[in-house]
Amino acid sequence: MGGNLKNSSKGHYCPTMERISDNELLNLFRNTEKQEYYFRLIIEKYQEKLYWLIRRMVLVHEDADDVLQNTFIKIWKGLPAFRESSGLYTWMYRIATNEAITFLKARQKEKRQMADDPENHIKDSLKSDPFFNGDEVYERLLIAIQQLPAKQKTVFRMRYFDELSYDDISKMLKTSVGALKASYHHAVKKIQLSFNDSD
Amino acid sequence: MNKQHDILEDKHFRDTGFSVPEGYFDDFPERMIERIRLEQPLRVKHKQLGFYRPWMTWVSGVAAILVIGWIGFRVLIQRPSEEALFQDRLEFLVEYSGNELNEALLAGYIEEKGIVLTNQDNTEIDNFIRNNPDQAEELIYESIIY
Repeated sequence: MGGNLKNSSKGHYCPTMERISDNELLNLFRNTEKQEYYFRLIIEKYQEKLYWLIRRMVLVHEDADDVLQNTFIKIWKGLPAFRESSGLYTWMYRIATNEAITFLKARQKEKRQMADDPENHIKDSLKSDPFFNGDEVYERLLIAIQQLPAKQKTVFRMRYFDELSYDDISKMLKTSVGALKASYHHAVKKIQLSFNDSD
Repeated sequence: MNKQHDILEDKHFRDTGFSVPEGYFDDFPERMIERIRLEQPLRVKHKQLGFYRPWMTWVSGVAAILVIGWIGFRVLIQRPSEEALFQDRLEFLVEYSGNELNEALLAGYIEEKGIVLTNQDNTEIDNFIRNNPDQAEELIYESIIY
């Protein structure tokens, strides 16, 4: 293990991320007393991927930050029981997605505006977020995505933003590649239609 | 307007629009670890207490033998079933789904797999889960994600 260690820019030792596999990380996490240390490495490795996944779902930075923290809490609690029937990232991806969905459902209950006028709700949320600097077209794209049915929304985000292959999405969502292609196709058509309608 | 075509084709467009506070990803791991410490204190090694006496070793040894014996006896008479293990996993799944498990959707998935439910009440779903743990777990995953 020592050969994998190098001095990081923050002054502490950490394994080289490119070299250490998820399986190694999991084994180290489970078989040493330094669980916190190895969990930090998992956070460092996946925080950005999970953050952007969540951010594109909840849109506002503060909310994404909350959901990301809740996601890592669930991962921390669940890791000892993680059975590795799927890859580590696939499992974390599911947890992050579920956390974001749970957050959005709770928010929907709190704010009736979201259900009554989703377009203005999204616009207001983006305006109030100092860390959103997209133009009007980007805003319209996000609104169009938010209004897709749940399954199409998920598949579209995974393909368009995360650039995942249909094979990977198929494994993650346990849906056939054909059904995924159909979902993506419908999503694109609806987004195009929404742009045409607003012209 | 053809802009939507450009947006859906343009790989750079998808990365614009959102930003994060400066240093956010540098600070996040430390903040996260701090929160984990508050949420669930990790096991800590107990320091030897000042009132420790050698006879305590004997007493604790005998106590340990009694406890191990009792546990062994319990294991013999009450071996944890596969069902109990599955229930643990199920509880975890439900917990991490934020208690948003959709029973109607789960029932729909069960039927989709060709298993006929005469009435989709909780007892029947519960029986299915007990009798088909692996299959049920997959279905639960699916019903959670949507």
